[in-house]
Amino acid sequence: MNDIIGELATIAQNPLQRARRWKEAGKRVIGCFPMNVPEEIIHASGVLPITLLGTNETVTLSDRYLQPYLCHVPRSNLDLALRGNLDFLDGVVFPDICDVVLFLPDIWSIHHPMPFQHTILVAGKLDSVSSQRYLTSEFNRLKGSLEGFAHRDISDDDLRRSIVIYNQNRDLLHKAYQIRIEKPGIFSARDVATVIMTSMLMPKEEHSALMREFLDRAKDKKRQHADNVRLVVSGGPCDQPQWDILDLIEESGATVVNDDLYVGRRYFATKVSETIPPIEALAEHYVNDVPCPTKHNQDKRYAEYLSDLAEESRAQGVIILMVKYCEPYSFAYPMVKAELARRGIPHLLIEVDPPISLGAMRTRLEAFIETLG
Amino acid sequence: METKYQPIKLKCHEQLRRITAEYWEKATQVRETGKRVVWCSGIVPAEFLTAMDFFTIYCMNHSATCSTRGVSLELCQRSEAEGYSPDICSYARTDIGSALAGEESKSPVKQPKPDLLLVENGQCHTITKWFESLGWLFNVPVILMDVPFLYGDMDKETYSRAYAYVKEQLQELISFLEEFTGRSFDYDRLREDIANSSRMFQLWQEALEMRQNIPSPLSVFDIFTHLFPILGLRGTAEGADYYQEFKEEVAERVADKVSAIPGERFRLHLDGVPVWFNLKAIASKFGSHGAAPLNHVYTMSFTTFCGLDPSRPIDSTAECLLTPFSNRGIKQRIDILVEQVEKYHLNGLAMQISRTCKGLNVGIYDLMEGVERRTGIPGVVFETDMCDPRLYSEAQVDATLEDFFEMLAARYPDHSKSTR
Repeated sequence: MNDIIGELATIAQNPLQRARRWKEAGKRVIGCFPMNVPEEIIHASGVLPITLLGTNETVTLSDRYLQPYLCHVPRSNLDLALRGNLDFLDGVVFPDICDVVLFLPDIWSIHHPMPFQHTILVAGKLDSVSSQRYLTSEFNRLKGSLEGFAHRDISDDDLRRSIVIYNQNRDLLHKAYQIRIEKPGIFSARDVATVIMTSMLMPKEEHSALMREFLDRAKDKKRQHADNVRLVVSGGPCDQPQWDILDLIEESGATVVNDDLYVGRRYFATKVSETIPPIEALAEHYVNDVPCPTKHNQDKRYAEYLSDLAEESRAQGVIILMVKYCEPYSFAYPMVKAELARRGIPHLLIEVDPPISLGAMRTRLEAFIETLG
Repeated sequence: METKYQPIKLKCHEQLRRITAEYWEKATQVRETGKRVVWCSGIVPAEFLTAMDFFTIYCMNHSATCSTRGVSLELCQRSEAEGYSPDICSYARTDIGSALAGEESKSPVKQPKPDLLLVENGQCHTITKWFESLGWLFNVPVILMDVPFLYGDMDKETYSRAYAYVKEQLQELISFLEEFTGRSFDYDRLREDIANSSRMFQLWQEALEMRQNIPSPLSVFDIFTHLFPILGLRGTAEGADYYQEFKEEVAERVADKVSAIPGERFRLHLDGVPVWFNLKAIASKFGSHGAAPLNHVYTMSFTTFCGLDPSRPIDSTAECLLTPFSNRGIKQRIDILVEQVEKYHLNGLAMQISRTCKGLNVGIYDLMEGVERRTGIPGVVFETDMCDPRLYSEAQVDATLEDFFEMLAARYPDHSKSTR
């Protein structure tokens, strides 16, 4: 198991390396902005989709175009592009999930044109019949764009095959999370983040093969600190895992038993139907997925969902990693705070604005965890 | 060259005061009349609500009013105490703060509580979150008109699907309103209200067109002052009548060669949301240098409703919702602003960044550079905020604008002689 997590950690630490190798082998790679691009459609066109999570480093070159008081990931991704680090990509796909990513496609195409660039006009609301229909038509447009780019038709069979491959990967990630909830301490939060992040960066088929071995070897693994405080971590909508914060949480006497992070449970939480027509299935999946503050849905409220998740995971507390300047998640916070309080679940809010300094955070985290222990 | 700036009020200002006072009086009595109350964002299919006899309240207008009266900071802080981050939209923090404070709110107006919330995301995505917060606080339904964004060089097919989606949502809105009120939808009243609004917006647009004159009879400061009826009086004949008077007065100014900014030297585009809490001082900074901001995001966004057509109420509303300046990406914004520069003979771009307004500040450098490149006129960026005085540095704004006016004076030496 150590070998596999070591192998995956190497990929996660140098996230573009694996995709570059794929490219050097004569294949194509498209970068997807977070969150929830229907990667299956890109996969079905024979192109490798990877998720662009930026870095946790300071941004400099993109400051000319995006103010430092905008959220980190769009600035970081544009910075990577301007530095030439994304030159190996054949294209990029944007889902217009918030006011920053909404404007980015035009800015990107002015300063870093790529052979393929596509913006999905994702529905902003998920609680009406019209939005699912519209989303289906937008996913069909993505399919059409990719067909033009890849010079090949994408058949329903191609799509179904990709959906099955992605669902298998989701199942495997789900198993890791089941182990995490039932036997906390088998995997560290860092290991889990490594597993999810690498799934976003390499061909799913290869990742699934590694995952099978990873899970198989986990059976013999001994639990660490089984009686630690059980925590759920949430937030982190678009950014890389906050490795150091995750380590710090688990060094402070807690174990992360579940999460609501994008590089986490959000990435695989629900499966895509393998029976209905594939593009419709992907749109239906988008609509029925776990709630996200970037979407309006009166029928499924984020605060309730997160509180349910904490209760179902038998968590003693929730740590919210709030990306600074992220409006959708910032606006959701007072509702989350009220709902957690109503149910008697303590929480700690940590503002994330890379590069992170752990100094002051350590004291707050330790104090929070101590009160729960 | 500085001269003291004395703003000239339009005579219809008195009429505006009366209309505004009456509106708020009606608002306080609305419960007695049995009308339902809907709180709306800036760009909404308002006539669908007025046709069903709703009283419409505009939340952005409320925040602006609070800022003008100097109470927005306190209301922002009220939101922050509840957990709203000081980095998010200060319009939202002001309005939510007032809702949280309830009877204790320092808001200068008494708003009746909403029965329904109607929000449209073609002006920004943030506003949806703002309205969700209101929906949570008041425990009432939030209806989102989800309007796809027009970016880059969008093809016709993509546009027509977006259009079909918006139309379908208007149908869904009608069904919702029927269920919500227990009455069948009043299509006759819809056509009537749309006819009133259409007349109102056209008159407003005709008055705005007169900014082509040199000197310009209107500055953005007049426009900000006289903006309220195009929101609050949508669907009414009274609104249209008001802008008839407004337009006639602007025409008089043109005939008499009255300049909105006395001694007009430079004609500017002003970007960003007005700094309501300090607007007089800002106007004075421009006015005292003969710098006349004539064009603004509002003159390119609300005018979308000129396209309302009572003979095609649903279709034309869908078009109007899709096409305002605020619903377009940077490339399309550059095209529109270039047209405005030419049409209104603009000499410069005063790109005011409203620090907490993502919908206007993301991409502002590219917008400015794009327009500069195509028109050759210079621009400047300066930072303010609409409701949060803590994000506004008078000294910094002064210094930046002083430099800009000096640069304009050097660039257009003739302007100081010919029009003064």
